Amino acid sequence: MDFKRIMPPMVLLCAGAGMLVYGAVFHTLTILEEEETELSIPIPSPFDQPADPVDRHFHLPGGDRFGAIDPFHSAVPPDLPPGGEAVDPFDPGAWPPEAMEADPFAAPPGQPGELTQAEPSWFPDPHGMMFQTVTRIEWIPRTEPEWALVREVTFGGVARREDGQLKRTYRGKPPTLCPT
Amino acid sequence: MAKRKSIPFAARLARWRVWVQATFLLVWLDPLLLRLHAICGPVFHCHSCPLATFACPIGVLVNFNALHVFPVLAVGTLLVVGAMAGTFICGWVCPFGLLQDLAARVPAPKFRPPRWMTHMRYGVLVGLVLLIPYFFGSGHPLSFCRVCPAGALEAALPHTVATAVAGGPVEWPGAVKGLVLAAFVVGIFFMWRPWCTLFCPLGAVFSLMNRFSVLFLRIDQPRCRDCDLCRKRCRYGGQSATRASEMECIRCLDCTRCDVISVDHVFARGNKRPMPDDQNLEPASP
Repeated sequence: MDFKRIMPPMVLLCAGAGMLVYGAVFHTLTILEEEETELSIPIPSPFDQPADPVDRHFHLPGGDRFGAIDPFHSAVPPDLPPGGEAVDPFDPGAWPPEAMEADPFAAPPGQPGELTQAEPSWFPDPHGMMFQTVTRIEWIPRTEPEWALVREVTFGGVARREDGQLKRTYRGKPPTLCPT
Repeated sequence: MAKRKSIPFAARLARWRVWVQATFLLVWLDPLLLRLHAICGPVFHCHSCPLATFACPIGVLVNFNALHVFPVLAVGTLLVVGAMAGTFICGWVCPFGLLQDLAARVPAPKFRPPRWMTHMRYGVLVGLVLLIPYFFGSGHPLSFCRVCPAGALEAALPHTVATAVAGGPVEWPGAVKGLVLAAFVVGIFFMWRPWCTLFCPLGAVFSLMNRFSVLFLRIDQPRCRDCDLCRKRCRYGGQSATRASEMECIRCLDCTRCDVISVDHVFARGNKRPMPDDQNLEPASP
């Protein structure tokens, strides 16, 4: 056997086999995937509205001065005290102590458009809360093996964003035809 | 009575080549509807074809380049298959080659392109498969998948016809793609494998590995009588003056009718594969 002749194909074979194993088992990629989230947002009752829109003392957190309410920064349902008994909303003694110290004019944490868990408001609502369902779209990073990406590119299921990240181009059922 | 000269085994095998190609067609056309598109096939067969078992390695290269991701699986597949067989894949396995072989059987004058034109496929590989998708994305009109005749013939055309039959809105392929397809359809009747010899980027990859593959065509230089039989039988320009396994060769084995040329492998005992320098040896006098 001529080892000088055997070496090049052996090197190529080993490199190829190694790449196949690495690509099939270890090589993963992060793909951003659009996901719809349904949120139940409470609609503030008229009791939460300021009597005088100009009055800053009664300005709702997250709302503007003229009554338009940003649903992401609106009040949220009050927590019941431990035990779960009904609370007299007009009895400050029944309010939880943290509610007494909280700044009622502070906006909930987070930036506009960012999904955050709002702190429970200490504003009790005598008439119960009304909720509206809001659909939000978020980019969720998913780690996928390379072979999954090979399948995705056969129908144009993945594209490159301007920031260099990969994103899925569809939601739900994948398309049947490639874009070309 | 003169003794009939025996035909070498490789030459006898070459007569069955079209049947071997047809058998492999059953693998690529997905008769079991497996749709294994997470795996790269080693042949030029568009994965958007309704009948495609595997992903096209060139399509994967194009799209991964557009995503700026190194295609580890596709390159690994090409390295393993290319290191094993080189362009045997083109001659014996590829369904697009079979299509051209069948069309070439239609009686028509055949033209042989100038030898320099066979280098265009390396330009296609570097330009349309690697560079344009990387810098301009796969949506560029000259990105390879946008002009690929296999995609037009195997995917765009069937889908267009199916959509038209179903009464849906028909979306015709782009002008460039249509022109390439038309040129291809006309060309396959007047040339032997015009796509493979002139433009195929997959053939370019495999041809680069021809000199390093485990299986190769061995030319017994001392026994060569310079009868030119190999050159006469070669339709694809694979047998040059050096009579080695050239990069244009698709290893159809037609040249093995001459018993000086045989199929060999690098593990053969006492094997000495002709080096590129050896090919320039003067043939032995008859």
